[in-house]
Amino acid sequence: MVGLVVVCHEDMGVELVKAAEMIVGKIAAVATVSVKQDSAPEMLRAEIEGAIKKVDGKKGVMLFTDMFGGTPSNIALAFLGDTVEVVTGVNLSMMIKFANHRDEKPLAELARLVQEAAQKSVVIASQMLKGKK
Amino acid sequence: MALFVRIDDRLIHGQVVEGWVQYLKATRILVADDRVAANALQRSIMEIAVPQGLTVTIGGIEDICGQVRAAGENERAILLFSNPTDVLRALKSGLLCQSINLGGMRYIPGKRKLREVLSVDDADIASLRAILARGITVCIQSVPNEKPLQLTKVFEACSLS
Repeated sequence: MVGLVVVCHEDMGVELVKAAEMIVGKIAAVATVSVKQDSAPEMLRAEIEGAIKKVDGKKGVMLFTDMFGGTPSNIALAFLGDTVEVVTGVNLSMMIKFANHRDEKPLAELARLVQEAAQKSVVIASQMLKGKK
Repeated sequence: MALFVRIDDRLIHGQVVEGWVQYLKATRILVADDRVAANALQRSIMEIAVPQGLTVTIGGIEDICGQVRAAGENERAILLFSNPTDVLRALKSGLLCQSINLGGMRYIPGKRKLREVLSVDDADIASLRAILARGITVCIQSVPNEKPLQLTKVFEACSLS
């Protein structure tokens, strides 16, 4: 099972995990890191490092961050490696896709899968309806 | 070069890229930080983490000061430092500025928290005092739509002036 750490501004990650659990049930091996206005970068680094260790089941760890270019991403990207992948722009679809495939998919494939799920979940309703006609 | 000098321990991040860059209509970000300049991974993270059309230059303190002097007059740029001691070094090596934006020096153990985004140790206090003694205005302000707060007022309130 691939481990998961969700790193977001404020408690967005905590709430996102709660929301996903509402849909898929309890999610195991997940940790969250909340980046607050007063969080110092080196404290955040230490917190992410601890979270990765906590959820690591030796099948790799995925870090989800809320926005490319923000502090959660910038700090998380430094952990990128053979056993750690970072995917930015987390949303509920990404969380659910992850929870449903983390047991059977290897890290790299899982990353592509969740990216696709997240991107597909952004639609403009009126345009989607027009396309159907 | 129209230069906006900021102290922020996160260097390039959302508040800078989404907030200040838009507000100042800056086209360039300069990062003066020896530690980041020496770390290839950190450097590339910062270089890719900005919108298109924005140039990012990362270098050691003295290197960046040289680039500021050499830059074109019409350029609008944000110059980022992670701490006031680095700013003081830059001032000593010829950086000219009248005001400094204090965006974030966040709490780590061993520092004293003065404000939400301002925590200091003795070295920070000494450097900030030396900057103020040069007649430079230092204002605490994380994002453009927040009211700036004079550092001297905070120092007075915390019996540090």
